[in-house]
Amino acid sequence: MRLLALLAVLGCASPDASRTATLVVATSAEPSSLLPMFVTETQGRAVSEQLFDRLSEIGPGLNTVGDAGFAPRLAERWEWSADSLRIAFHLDPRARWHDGQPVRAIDVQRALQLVKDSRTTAPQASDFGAIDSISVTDSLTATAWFSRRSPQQFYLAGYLLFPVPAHAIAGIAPDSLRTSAFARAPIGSGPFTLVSWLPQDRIELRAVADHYRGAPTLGRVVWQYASEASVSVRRLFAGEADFMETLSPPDVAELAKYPEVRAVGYPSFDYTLLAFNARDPVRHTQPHPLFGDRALRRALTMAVDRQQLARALFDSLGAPGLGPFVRAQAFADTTIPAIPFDVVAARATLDSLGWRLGANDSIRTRGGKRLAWSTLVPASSKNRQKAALILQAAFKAVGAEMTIEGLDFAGFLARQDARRFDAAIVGWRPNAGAVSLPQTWGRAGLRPGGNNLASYASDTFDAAVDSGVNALSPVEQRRLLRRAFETIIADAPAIWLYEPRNVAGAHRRVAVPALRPDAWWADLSRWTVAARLPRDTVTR
Amino acid sequence: MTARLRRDPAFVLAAAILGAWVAVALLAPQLAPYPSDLQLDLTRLRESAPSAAHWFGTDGVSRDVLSRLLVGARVTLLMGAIAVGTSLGLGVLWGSAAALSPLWLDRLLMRTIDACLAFPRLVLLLSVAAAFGQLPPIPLAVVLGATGWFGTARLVRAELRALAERSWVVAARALGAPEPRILRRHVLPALVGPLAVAASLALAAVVPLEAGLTFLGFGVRAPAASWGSLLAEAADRPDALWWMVLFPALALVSVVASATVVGDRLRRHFDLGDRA
Amino acid sequence: MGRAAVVRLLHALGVIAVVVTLTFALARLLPGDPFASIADHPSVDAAWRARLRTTYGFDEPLLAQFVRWCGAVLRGDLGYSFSAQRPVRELLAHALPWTLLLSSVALTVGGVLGIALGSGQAVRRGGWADRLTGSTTLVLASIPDVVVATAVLVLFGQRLRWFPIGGATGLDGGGAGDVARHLVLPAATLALLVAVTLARFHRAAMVRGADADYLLAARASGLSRWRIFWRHALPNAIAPTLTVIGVLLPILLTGTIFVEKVFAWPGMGSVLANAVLARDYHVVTAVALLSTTAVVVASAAIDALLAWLDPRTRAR
Repeated sequence: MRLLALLAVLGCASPDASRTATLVVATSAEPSSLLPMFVTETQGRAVSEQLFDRLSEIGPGLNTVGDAGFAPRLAERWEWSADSLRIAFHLDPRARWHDGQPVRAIDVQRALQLVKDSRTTAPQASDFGAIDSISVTDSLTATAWFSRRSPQQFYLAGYLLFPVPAHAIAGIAPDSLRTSAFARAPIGSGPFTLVSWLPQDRIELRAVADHYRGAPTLGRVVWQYASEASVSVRRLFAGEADFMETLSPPDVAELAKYPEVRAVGYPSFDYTLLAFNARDPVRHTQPHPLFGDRALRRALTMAVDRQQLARALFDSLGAPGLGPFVRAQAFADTTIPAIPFDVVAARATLDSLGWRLGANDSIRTRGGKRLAWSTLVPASSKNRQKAALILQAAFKAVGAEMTIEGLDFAGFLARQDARRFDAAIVGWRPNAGAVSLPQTWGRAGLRPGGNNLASYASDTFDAAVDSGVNALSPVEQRRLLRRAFETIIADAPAIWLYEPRNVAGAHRRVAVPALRPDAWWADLSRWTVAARLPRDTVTR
Repeated sequence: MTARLRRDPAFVLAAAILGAWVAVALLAPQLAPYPSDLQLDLTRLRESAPSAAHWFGTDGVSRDVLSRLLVGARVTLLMGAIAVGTSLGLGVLWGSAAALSPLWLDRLLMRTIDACLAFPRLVLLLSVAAAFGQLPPIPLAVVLGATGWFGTARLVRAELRALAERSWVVAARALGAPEPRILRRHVLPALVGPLAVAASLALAAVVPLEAGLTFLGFGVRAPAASWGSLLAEAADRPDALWWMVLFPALALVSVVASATVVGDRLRRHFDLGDRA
Repeated sequence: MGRAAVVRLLHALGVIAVVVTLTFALARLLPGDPFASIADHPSVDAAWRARLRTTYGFDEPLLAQFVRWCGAVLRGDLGYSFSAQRPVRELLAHALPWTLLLSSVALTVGGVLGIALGSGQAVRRGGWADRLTGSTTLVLASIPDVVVATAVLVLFGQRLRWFPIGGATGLDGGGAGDVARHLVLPAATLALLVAVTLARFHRAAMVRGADADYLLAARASGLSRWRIFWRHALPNAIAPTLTVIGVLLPILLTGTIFVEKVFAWPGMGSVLANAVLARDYHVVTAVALLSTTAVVVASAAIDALLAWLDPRTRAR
């Protein structure tokens, strides 16, 4: 019996068997589209980026300044013009769309036209404003034109832009592309092609055997959906699924009982914060009666033991937040001084601000007004609910009363959009680069419908971020952004709560390479699986 | 008569359990070993299994589950009683109105019930949440009751319609008994059996429903405790966090079962008394 | 008879119109929009989502939207689902058969089991079998459904691995055997819950009827116990039981949200729950349209059946 098992394992170790392997990924949300230009959420990117290749791939250091570290994909090489206002991408002549047509320069040109066209409603349309146009030099050379130099020129054109098969979408108007049949069964250029998408059930991809980068080592990849995360976990534990992107801390603890499943840690790209609304939730032109006051925000920050909070939520699998960035970003700086946890100082500051505790009160008052507010929390997020409970207790200890207002996610977002809240527990997943900083924390995001949720406004921060975003070397960028981060952390527009460390669950038969923090799926086509299950028999 | 009830061991036990829960609800803060929203030790006492210090274990933010269960009894029992009362009251009123009405009105009333049954309850509950925000327990219970009585109304009407044609009712009517008297003496007592079942099912449904509402941000406001909010924390992980599921579920079973037994024995008692 | 049927049909259409209109309006009054799921990215802001709302006509006055929607529905177009990324009709075509399968199996098994248990209890009223069944069904009915369902999944799916965990088909499956293996756990759970409910109602109805004079008379005339049961007691007790079944019937079309969620069954219950949370208006309204039709049809069918079983009610 044992001999047989051994033989089976040996048999499977051969690369040939591995090629027919099926990897089953258990996950909880279906893609919002299969066309990368429409997709921003991780679950959707994981699938759509198997179907489509980029011109080039970002390096392991996630550098976004210049082209340092970028590796060829659809573009086999590229060259800059002397004034750096043009980049010519030379396409790999072996690259083919899944219908057999070659990938051509016009596909790159069409991609830019589409994302920039407002009728297409591509979410990142505004980011692409920095690229003037793309011209077709010859059928295999596409040249991107820029009106001014910026550090992210290459990142935008070479990484964020996905070429589309111009011949296949010729008949589709830009405003119906999102809802077209093509968007759910696209012809791509990536290492996998779509077999089927059964709604609420699964998406099946098959390897492209004659892919220009070589045939993937996996025969097929299947995403199995279950809206309850616990079902996905059970599938993983029972061996029905091979991989799950994030396990919750209780699942990681449970994992010890299942020897055939192991935990794979990797840095995360999410950070969660308690945003204080600096503006009055009703009369937006007025400062918030409580949180317009920087000293009060700082005092409340001092009341929270973020080290303990992170431990309570994630054990060793999380860390306190640092500021408006994650540790995995190239410009992250972990040495910026944080506002320390100091209950005594918090109480003293509150006293000095006139928020006094009466003899029999548990809540401070000032001029008859109680130090009390409501915090929005999405009810579907267990982590944020728990964080809210812990914060509530921490604020109570210094005489402040925080009410927890749970909302379903769509309702939460609607209130957040309208800035109709005192405070909110918000999660962000930034871009690899620094481009989104002005939008999320600068004056640029203050406009109605902008993303500066805390309505934070600081000239010092804006100036430093602006020069940081436009710095032309990674070292320079890091230095300039440090100034910006020091300012915003001291101003405490939010309490930077935590940054989880991701833990994926993987079956032992899967050899998982180092997972990239912003995209665990980046090398999926090179994963190997010891094929020995019935589902691994794929006919090609 | 009461002596006979007192000799019935099932009735005595069930009544004792119910009485005990009412006492617990009243005295909860005194009985609870810890304050129910106190986070005891976030580093060492999170999600710890039952022990000598914490008989029912602790939850995700290191609160004592036993204390929360005891304190939660107050909200839960109150909500259960109000929700069931609302739903039965509306159901009986509507159903008997339909049964006693002329044909056209009966049809109108019953088609309204059809419409209510068909309306997606989730949409209704979310729009209540959108309109009023998070509700205090009593209005919340009224909402739960007011969105859950349609089946009862239909049942009551069907029963009354069927009963009205039964031999003893026909006989009473033939003997010239006035309609209200027929209704009171012969029809309503016969309704009690099915209604008791409906009530016990409705009572059992309140707690999981409230747990479900927690995920919509619509349940009991944190950090207050209720059995539904306890259950909501771990209902999807009954294996890993069994103490957070088992004890609230047992508490719920004990209440529903006792209430059912008490109701059943009382009905039998008065039923016979009435006929004798 | 013909005229009565026409009246009933008109009423039914009226109910459908009212429910659909209300659902349409209420769903759109909920805070949020259908594009919330794509909002976790710094490039995606409220202004961009507002543009999407305008593009897809969700900014128009409610009445204009409703008129447009009605016109589309009459042409057979149920709209587009932004959460499932496909036309609503295609989404429902995937989900409806699975729910029909699950619910019909569960209702049939559960219905027969429930009536049999309830009848058996009533016939042997007061005996140990009655008491044992009574306490079992009582306890089962008091445990929250989600806990029962999850416990079944954990035990038979994850621990014993007798059945697959969730879903309706295996990877390379889709055959009858494969679907059956996936169906067992959710169908058994749902059937159990239906049976428990029905048994308790049915026993109550039977017991209440058992003291009726005509049964006493029948017993006195020396008819056998079983003959009395089949000929007299059961038909008289079936009316309320059928009514309860009538209340349960709509789940044939809309499924039960919790069973489908716990077992990741790709049916209508999951569709509705996801659509409400994602503010996928077209889906919510389409499901309301379907479920109302189901309720109305079920209600008419049950009334007809009751009338057929008891000619006296028809007299009124």
